[in-house]
Amino acid sequence: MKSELQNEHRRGLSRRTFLGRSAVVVGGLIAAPTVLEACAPESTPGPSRPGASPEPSATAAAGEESAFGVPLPADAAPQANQYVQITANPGANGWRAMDGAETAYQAAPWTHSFGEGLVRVNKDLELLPGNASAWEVSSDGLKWTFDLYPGIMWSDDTEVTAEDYVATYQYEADPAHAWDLSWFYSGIIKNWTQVVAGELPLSDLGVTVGADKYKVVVETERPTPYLPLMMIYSWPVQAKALKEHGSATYNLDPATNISSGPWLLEEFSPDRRIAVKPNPKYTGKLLPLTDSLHANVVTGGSDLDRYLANEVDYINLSAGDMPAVLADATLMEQLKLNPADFRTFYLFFDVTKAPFDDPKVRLAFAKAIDREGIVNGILAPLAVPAYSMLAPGFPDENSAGLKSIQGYDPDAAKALLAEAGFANGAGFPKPTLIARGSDGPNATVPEAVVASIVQTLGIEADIQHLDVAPFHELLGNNFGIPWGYVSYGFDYLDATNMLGVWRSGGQYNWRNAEFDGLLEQGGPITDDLAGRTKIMQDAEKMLCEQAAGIFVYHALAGQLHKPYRKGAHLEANKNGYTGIQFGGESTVSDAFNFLYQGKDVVTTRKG
Amino acid sequence: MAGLGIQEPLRPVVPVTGPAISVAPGIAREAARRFFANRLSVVGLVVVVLIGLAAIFADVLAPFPRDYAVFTETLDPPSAAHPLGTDIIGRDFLTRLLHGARTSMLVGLLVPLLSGFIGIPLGALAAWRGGWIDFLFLRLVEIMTAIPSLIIAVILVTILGSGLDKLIFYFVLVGWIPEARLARAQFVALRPREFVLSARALGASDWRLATQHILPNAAGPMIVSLVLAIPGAIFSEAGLSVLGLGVRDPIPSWGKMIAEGAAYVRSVPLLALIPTALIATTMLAYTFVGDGLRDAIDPGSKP
Repeated sequence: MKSELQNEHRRGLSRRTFLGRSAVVVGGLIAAPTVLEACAPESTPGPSRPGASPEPSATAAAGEESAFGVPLPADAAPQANQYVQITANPGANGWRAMDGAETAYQAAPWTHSFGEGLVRVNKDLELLPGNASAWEVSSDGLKWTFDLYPGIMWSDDTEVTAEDYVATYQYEADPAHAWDLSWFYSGIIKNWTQVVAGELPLSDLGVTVGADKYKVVVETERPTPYLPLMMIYSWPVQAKALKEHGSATYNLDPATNISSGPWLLEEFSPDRRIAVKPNPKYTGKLLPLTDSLHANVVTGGSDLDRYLANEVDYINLSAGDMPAVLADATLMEQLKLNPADFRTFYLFFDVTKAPFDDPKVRLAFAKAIDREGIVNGILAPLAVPAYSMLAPGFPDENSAGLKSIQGYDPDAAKALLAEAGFANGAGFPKPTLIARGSDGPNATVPEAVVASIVQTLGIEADIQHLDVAPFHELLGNNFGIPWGYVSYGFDYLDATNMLGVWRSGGQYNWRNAEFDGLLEQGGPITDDLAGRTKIMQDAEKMLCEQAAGIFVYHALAGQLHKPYRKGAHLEANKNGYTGIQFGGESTVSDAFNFLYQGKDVVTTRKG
Repeated sequence: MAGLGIQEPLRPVVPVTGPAISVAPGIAREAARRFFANRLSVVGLVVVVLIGLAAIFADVLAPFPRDYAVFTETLDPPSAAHPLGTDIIGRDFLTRLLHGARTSMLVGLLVPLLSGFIGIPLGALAAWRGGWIDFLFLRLVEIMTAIPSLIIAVILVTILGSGLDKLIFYFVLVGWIPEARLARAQFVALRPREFVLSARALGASDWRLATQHILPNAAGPMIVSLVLAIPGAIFSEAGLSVLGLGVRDPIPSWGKMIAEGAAYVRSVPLLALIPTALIATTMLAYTFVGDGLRDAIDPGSKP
């Protein structure tokens, strides 16, 4: 026996023993998180949790002002606490700049801090002056002139002039720069498309200096009454610095940062922290109550956990956070909801090939989707059912009036499919829904949509998820997506933007001359807004009846804001939406005129 | 008896055209005895059989149709109607797990099987012929081995798309290599053995030598290798599904269910934990079975 034991010891751990013990270890590892979560103590009560009352906190001294000379409200925290703290994740693509002119899709947090557009929006998404005090359009509707406020200065003591805006737009249109938002002005600004394609020189671009250095002139290809709305994206970079450095990335280094906005760059460490500090030479028209903006870089973990740990002032919620929020009365009080960019999620088809070339088939699919069930069961409160392209609250929308066209009606859906020759789904070829994206609702909603269609119509279907780049590559490759799921959010607040997605020759292969004609007819109208609305609604009705697109839901952005976040900008707008609306907490909106930190931030926030 | 001058009768020569040499019944019985004497192997076998039965009879055992969803019953806790609750779109979770077992077993069993069908003949051919065939084979194996198999699978999914059939194809494309290498090694080791040389001297053809003499003796390690490849295939499918590159919705797989459940681990941790535990259990069970087979077939290889 002893020799056997000694031999065992000498041989070392046997495979069987190792595997047996590994099973115990692995089983323990699997069970540990559940056990730990069950045993974890409640997080330290604070103002975010019931049962704890905040200690009396210091408030701003009487007459105390923000760094921009704006008197702080009576319930504001001292100036030293007037900064915003969030987290940000660079994602797979990372950040390349802090100016929209350099990149729109790889812009770091607090972009638009160093230059303000010609216009901005308020929380009702109404246009306000930005760096332009006024604007007017020529009688033919093709030339817009924006008057800059004189005396707006860059931090190097030079004045902001029209030349800066012209240089910025030329940089954005420069084919050598390959701006990732260059499609935005295509067909709008005169010669934009040709300049971007390299067919015309930059000097031919329809953005020029007007009669004096304070006039920015924008010429359009056709009358575009919503051109001012598009100018919320007209953030300038300094012409001199652009020429010196060759790109707008000079603003990533505090040593070369030049700003005409409220802030200067304090730190750009894309693996640690992005922060901006007050620009003492700011002469613009915003009146920020907030001194500085901080973003701590994170690459994983839960934003909700950070919010509950009082490490951030607010977060944007994901669908996975909602069960925890819905179960917590305190968090529900802090929940803000708004449509953000009025994003609509919808299905589209290759309408040139069977079976989706038949409108009855498409309409059968539309009526087979239980949108209310999907929204209430899976997405609520971060969505509302969609029966049209334009979401409730969007200009010219008619969601209620169009509901009956694509609304859930299983009997009608079955009847339509039978009329199309596929009674009870017999003989219907198995389609594959190609969905853009695979995270969160982009994974679950297509599954729910397909389940609803399959259960109602008795057909079979499956789903393939593609990332954004391969999805659009496939779509652009001879329209290689027979049945797709995608979303679209507005770029400017006009029905022609959202409905224009469905124009002939656009992204999809549905062709309807009457629909195109309505958009062409209504688009330029400026003197009969009621008539324009009717034209847009008629066009949208046509879209719904033909089921060129099947609309599933309109997304709502959910935000949690700490109770110490104050300001009218967080309260309900004219459409009843709350929280920071489109434009965000940036110079694109006037949010900074209203937002400040209340006294409780002193004892609540960490870091 | 030789010392007494009595001559031993001559033993008949085994004819070349006679019945093939097969494993004596006693050896197989002995191997089975050793296998079933190993408690871990038996436990593994029981688990494997149970999961296999669940996969085969998922349609019968599942309380609901595979894709049946009730949107008003999303993320419901366990109940009489739904013993393990419901998932994010209101499907019965137990039903999804049972059908997920089918996906995992399909991949887990088909991939090694097909890999063996491709790899073993290729490896045997390379060893038998030698020369430039063996040279090309070894270079091909070196190249394929240098590239991580998961990377190859991810690239293929990106280019050619996902789906259960494509996934099996991708895994077989990289999975035949270890089987081929093992087969080659076995044939190289066994080819110069006396029993092979004897059979060759008696006029056995190459085909007969390979299939009737070498292959039965090489079968043991190759069977063990194939069985141990099963958990690897299951894990690879789960890994790709977690990344969103695996089987297509609405077909469930345990890996995909982990990815779906990860977003709700805070509120409904079981959505991710249960499929994780099932994958781990299945992999361990097959590992125990493979380990037991190796000990049973070749006791000398036991550490």
